[in-house]
Amino acid sequence: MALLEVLQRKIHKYGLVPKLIKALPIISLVCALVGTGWILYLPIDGQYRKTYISENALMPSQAYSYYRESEWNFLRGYRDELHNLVANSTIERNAEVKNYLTEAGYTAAEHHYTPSNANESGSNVYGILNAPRGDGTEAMVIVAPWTTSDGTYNENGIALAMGMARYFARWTIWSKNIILVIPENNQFALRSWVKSYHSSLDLTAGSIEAALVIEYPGSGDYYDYLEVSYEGVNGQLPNLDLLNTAISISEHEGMKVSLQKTPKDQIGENTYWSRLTVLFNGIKALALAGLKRSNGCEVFSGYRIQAITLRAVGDNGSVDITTLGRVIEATFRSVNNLLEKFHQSFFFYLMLAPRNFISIGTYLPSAVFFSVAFALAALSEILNCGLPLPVLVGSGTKVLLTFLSITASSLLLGSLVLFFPVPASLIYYTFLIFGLIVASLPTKQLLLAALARPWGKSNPANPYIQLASSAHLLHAVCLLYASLIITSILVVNFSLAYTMSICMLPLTFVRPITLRSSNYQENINAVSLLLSCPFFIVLLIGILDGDFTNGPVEVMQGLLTSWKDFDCWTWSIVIVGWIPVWIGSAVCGSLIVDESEYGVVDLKKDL
Amino acid sequence: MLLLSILPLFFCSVLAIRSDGGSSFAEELSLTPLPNGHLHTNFNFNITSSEFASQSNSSSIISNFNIFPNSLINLLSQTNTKNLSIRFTSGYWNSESWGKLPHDGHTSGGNGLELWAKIEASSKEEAFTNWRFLVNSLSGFFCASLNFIDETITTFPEYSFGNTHDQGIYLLRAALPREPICTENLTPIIKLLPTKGRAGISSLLDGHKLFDSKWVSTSIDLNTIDSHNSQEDSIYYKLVINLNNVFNVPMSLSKIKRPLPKPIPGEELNCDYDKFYDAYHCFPSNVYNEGLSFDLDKIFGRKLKIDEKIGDSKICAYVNKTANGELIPENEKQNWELQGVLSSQNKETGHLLFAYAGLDENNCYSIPNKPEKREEFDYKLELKNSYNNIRISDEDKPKIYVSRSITGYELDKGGFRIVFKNPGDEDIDLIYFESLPWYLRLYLNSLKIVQKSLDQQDTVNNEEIIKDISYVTAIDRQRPAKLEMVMKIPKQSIITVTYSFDKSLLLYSEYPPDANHGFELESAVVTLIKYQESTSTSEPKEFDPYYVLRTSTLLVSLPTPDFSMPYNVIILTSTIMALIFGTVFNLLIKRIISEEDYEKLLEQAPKKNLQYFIALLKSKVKSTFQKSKKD
Repeated sequence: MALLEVLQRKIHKYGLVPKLIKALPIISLVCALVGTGWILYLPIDGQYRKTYISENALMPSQAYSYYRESEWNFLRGYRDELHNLVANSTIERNAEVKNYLTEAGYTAAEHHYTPSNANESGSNVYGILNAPRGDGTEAMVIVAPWTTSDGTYNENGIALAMGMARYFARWTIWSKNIILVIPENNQFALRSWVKSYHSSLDLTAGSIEAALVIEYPGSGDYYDYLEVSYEGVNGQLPNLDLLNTAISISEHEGMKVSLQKTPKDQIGENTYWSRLTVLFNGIKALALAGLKRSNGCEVFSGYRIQAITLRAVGDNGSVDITTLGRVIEATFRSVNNLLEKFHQSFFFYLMLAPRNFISIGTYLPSAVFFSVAFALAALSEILNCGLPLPVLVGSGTKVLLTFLSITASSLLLGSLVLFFPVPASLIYYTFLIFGLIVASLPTKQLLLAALARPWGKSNPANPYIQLASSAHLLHAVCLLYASLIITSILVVNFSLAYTMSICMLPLTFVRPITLRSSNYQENINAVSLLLSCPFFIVLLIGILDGDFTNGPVEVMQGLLTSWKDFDCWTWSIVIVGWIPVWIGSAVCGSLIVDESEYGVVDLKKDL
Repeated sequence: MLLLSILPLFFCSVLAIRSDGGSSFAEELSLTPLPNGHLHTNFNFNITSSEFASQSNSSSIISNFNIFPNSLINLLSQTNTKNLSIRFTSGYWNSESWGKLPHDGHTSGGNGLELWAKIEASSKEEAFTNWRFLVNSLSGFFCASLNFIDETITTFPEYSFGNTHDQGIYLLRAALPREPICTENLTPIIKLLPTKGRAGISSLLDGHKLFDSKWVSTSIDLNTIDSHNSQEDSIYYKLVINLNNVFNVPMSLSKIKRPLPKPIPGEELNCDYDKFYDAYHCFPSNVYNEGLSFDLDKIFGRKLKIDEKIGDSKICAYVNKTANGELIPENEKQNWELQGVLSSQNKETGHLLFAYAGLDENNCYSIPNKPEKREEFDYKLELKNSYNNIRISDEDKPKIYVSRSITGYELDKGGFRIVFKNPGDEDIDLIYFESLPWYLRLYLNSLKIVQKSLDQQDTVNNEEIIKDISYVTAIDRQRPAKLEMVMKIPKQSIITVTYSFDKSLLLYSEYPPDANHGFELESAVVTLIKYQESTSTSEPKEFDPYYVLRTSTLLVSLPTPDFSMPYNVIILTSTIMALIFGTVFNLLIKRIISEEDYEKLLEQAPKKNLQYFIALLKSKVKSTFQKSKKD
C-alpha cells in the first residue's frame, strides 16, 4: 500500500470530499479574503524590495548637470514672453513658439487634429533637434502642454521646456533626436499627436524611446516638491528603470518626490501605513487610468514608449525651477546613454514609496486567489444546489445560450453607445441613470422574476424544477466566467483585475430563492447585486473620488470616451466581463424556485 | 555653395598640375557659411595616377607610381574593379535650412557606411566572389565592418548609382546603416594622401574636431579612366576624396572657451534687447551684432602647415558670389573676410600675408609654394555682418524634399511612409532606390499613392506617378529585397507613398548583439534625373542624374526574445520536475510499515548471497531454453 493509497483511504474514512464540497462557499470566501489580505501583507517590512537601476548604461546623475545660473535668465526671458500670451488663442501661441523653436535650431511643424466630439480642429506644435551623434533613429520627447491637468496655464512648464530645448541644442553629445511637443492639453491633443506620429506626420524623428511630460503652472521661481506620475492605460507602466532614474536624480538634486499625490507633510514618511496608502492609491490610479484625465503620461501607452509625468507642486518652496531643469537634463542624458530599448527592468510593478516597490511575482497571487475564489464559488453552486448532476447538465445548452445572448447583447449595446450620434453628456446621464435603476431593480425582484417566469416553461410537466436547475447553472456559469475574465487580465492589468474582483465578490453570495432559503437570502441578494453593479460602483467612485469634479457623470464619460480617445480597454472589459456576469447573477437572484418537488437531496440529512 | 555644387564629381575641374610621371595631386578647402551660425567645410583631394597600358600587370604599374596609393591599386586589379565608391556619413543634413547637399549629393551617403563598385566579370557569381574579396580587404583597410557585407545585403541596382548596363560590368552595392563613423575611419583616409596629413590642408584634419560636428560625410571615389590622349590603349586611375562637415561656429568657439558646457557668464549673454531684459531676464537671441570672427584653427583645432609643395593647394570661400560668379552688391554683401596671418613667436608682430582683397577671382587663396622654412599659418576668417543675413538663395534650395518614416508600432507588422514634396514649378523625374533586409516581408500590393497639393488639400489627379518599377523580392537569408521606382513628382504637390510589411521571426543566432536596440534599415536613395533628348525612341530612355539625396535611416524592432529566459526556464522546470518526480514517486511506491513488519519481511526474503544469484541465473537460463524449445 503506497503512501497515496493511505492518503486516499484516510480521505475516504473521514469523508473529506463531501465535507470539502459542503465547505466550498467558506473556502471560496477564505480565498477571496486571502486575496484581499495579500495586498495588506505586502507593505510589511521584508515583503517589498528596494528599487535599483537595472540597466547599467543609464548611470543616473553620473554627469554633472549644468542647467543653472545664466540659463535661468533665458528661462525667465521665455517666461516673460509666454506670460504675454495667456490671453492669445492657441494658434497665435503656437506660431510664436514655433518661432522660438526655429530660432533655437529646431525643425518645427504644426500638427492639426479633430477632437472626437467637436468639429473645429485643434493644433499642437512640435520641434525636432536632430542628433549630431549616433544614427538618429531614436528620439526622446519633452512634452509641455499649454494647459496642465488641472486646467491652469502651464507657464513655467513651457518656459522650462523651451529653455531646456535651447540648452540641449548647444550640445553635440546627443545620440538620440530630441522632440519638444507643446500640445493644447496633455490628454486628447497629445494622444492624437502620438497617434499621428506613428501614422501620418511628415516630420518625424525615429522611434520614441522615452517621454517626459512637464507640468509647472504659475510664474514663480520656486516650488515645494516634485510629483511623479507613471500610470498608463490598460495596466501599462513605464519601465521601472526610467521611473527609478527620474526619482534617483530628483532626490540627488535634493528635492522631495511624491508618488500618488502624497501630500507634502507625508512625503518623507516610510511606514507601513504610508506604503499601504501609496500602494492602494497606485492600484486605484491604474484601475481608473484612462477614465481619469490627469497625468499625460498615459497617452503614450500602447506605443512602446516609456513615459512619466513630472509635476512641480507648490509655489513657495525651497527648490528652484532650474532644479527641475537639471532633473530633465540628467534624465535625458541617462536615456541618451542607452544602447538598447528599455527592457532590463520591470514593466509590471507596484510602488510603495519612491524607493520601494513590489514586483509582479509578489503581488500576482492576490488576484489569483480571487480567480480561484470565483471558480470555487461556481463549483459550489453546482455541487451544493442539491440538484442531481444530470438534471443540471440537461439544462446546460439552454443556460449557455442564454448567457451567450446576455453577453452578446451587452457587448452590442455597450459598443453601440460609443458610436451614438447624440450629444455626449446626454448619453452619460441616461446611461448612468438607467444603470442605477437597473441596479436597484433586484431589490424589487418582481419585474425580473415576472420576466423570467416564462423562461422555465419548456418543461410543462415540472416547470419549476427546470427553472431551478437553470438558475443554479446560470449562476455557476456566471461565476466561472468571472473567474476566467479575471484570470485573463490579471497579468496585464492587475489593478483592474483586483478592483473588479473585489467589486464582483458579492455576486458569490447571490442564490436563487428556494423554499429552503433563509429569510435573509432575499436581502442578501438585493444588497449583493446593488454593491456589485458596475453603475453603482461608478456612482461610488464619482462621489468618493475628489478628482472627478463632475462626479459620477464624469466617470461615466471617462468610461465611454476612453476607448475612442485612448484605446483604453476598461469599458470593453466591463461590457464583456462584468455586466453579463452581473445580469446573469441578477436573474438568478431574482428567481424563486421550488426544488422540493424533485426530491432534492438534503445534504445535511445525508451526513 | 553653388560653385561647389556645379563641380562635377568625377571630373573635378580643380586644375591638376601633371607632374613628370603624369600623376598629379590637387587639394582644396572650401568654406561656405550656412544659416544659423553653421559653416560647411569641404576638403577636396584629387589624386591622379600616371598613365599605363591597360594590359600591364600590377607590379609594373606600382613601380611607376609615386603619389598614388599603391595599396588600393593592387586591390582594384585583383578584383577587376573599375569603379569604387565608399561613403562614411553620420549626422543629419538639414536641407530645410541648409539647402542642397554639397556636390549635389554626389559625395554624401546615407547614415553609416555605403559602398558600391563596378566589377568586371564574366558572370554575376564571379562578380560577387570578387565583391566579397573586395569588401573583406577594404574592411581592414578602412577600419570598418565592411566584412559584414554579404549576399543578404548586397544588391545589384538597376537604374541608380550610375549603372551603365555595360556588357560584363556588374554594379554591386551595399550599406551598413549601423556603422558608427569615427576617428579610426579618418586615419586610413589621411594615409591615402601623398601629404599624409603633414602639410597642406590635410594638416588641418583632426578627428576630434571633425567628428564633433553636426554632419560628417566622407567620400572616396576611385575610378579607372580610359585615356584618349595617347595612341595606345592606356588607362589611369583617379582618386577623389571629399570630407564634408557642418560646424556650428558659435558652438565650436564656445567649446574652446568652455570645454565643459557650463552656463555662459551673465555679462556674455546674447539677449534680444527688444524684449524685456535685465540682470535676471534675458530672451535669447541669435543675432550677433558685432559679427562673428574666428580663426580657422579654432574650428579645426590645428594650424595649417606648409611644406614643400606636392600639388595645387588652396583655400576657397564661397559666400559673396552669386551663381554666375558675379559679386553680390556691396549693400547686400555678407562681409566675410578671409585673412591669412603668418604666425611667428610673437603673434602680435606676425604680418598679414593676404587679406580679402588678395584673393583671386574665384575667391580662393593659393597656399604659397616652397616656403623657406616650415611655417605654421593662422588663417583668420572674419564674418563681419550678422549670421542672420545668411539665407539660402532659391537656387540653392533643393528641388525636392523626401522623408521616410515607419508607421505602426506592432511587433509583427509595420509600414513605410515616404513623402515627396515638390514645392517647385516643374515636374521632377526621379529614381527611388530602396534595399530592405529579408526579414521585412514587403507587400507591394499594399502600395498606395496619395497626391496632395502643397496646402495639404487632397487633389484627385490621375497623373501617373510611378513610371516604372524594378522589384527584386527577398529570399530568406539569401537576398535582400530591392525596390527601384522611376517616378514623376508633379509640380507643387506632395506625394505620399505607403506600403506595409510583415516582420519575420529570426533564428536564435541571427540576432545581432544589442538586439533590443532594434534593426536599422538603410536609407533610401533618391536620384533626380533628366531624360536625354534622344532622337531614337528606344526604351528605356537615357537619363542624367543631377542630384542625389538620401533619407534618414530607420529603426524597426523585431520580436526579440529575452535571451536569458530559456536558461531560467530550463533551470526552473528541471528543479520543479525533480521535486515533483521525487514526491510523486515516493507517494506511489513507498509503503509505510511498522519496524516489526519490516523485520519479518526481511527474514522471509531470500538471502542475497552468491548461491542466490547462481540460482537466479540458472532459472533464467532454464526459462530461456524452455522458451526456445517451445518455439
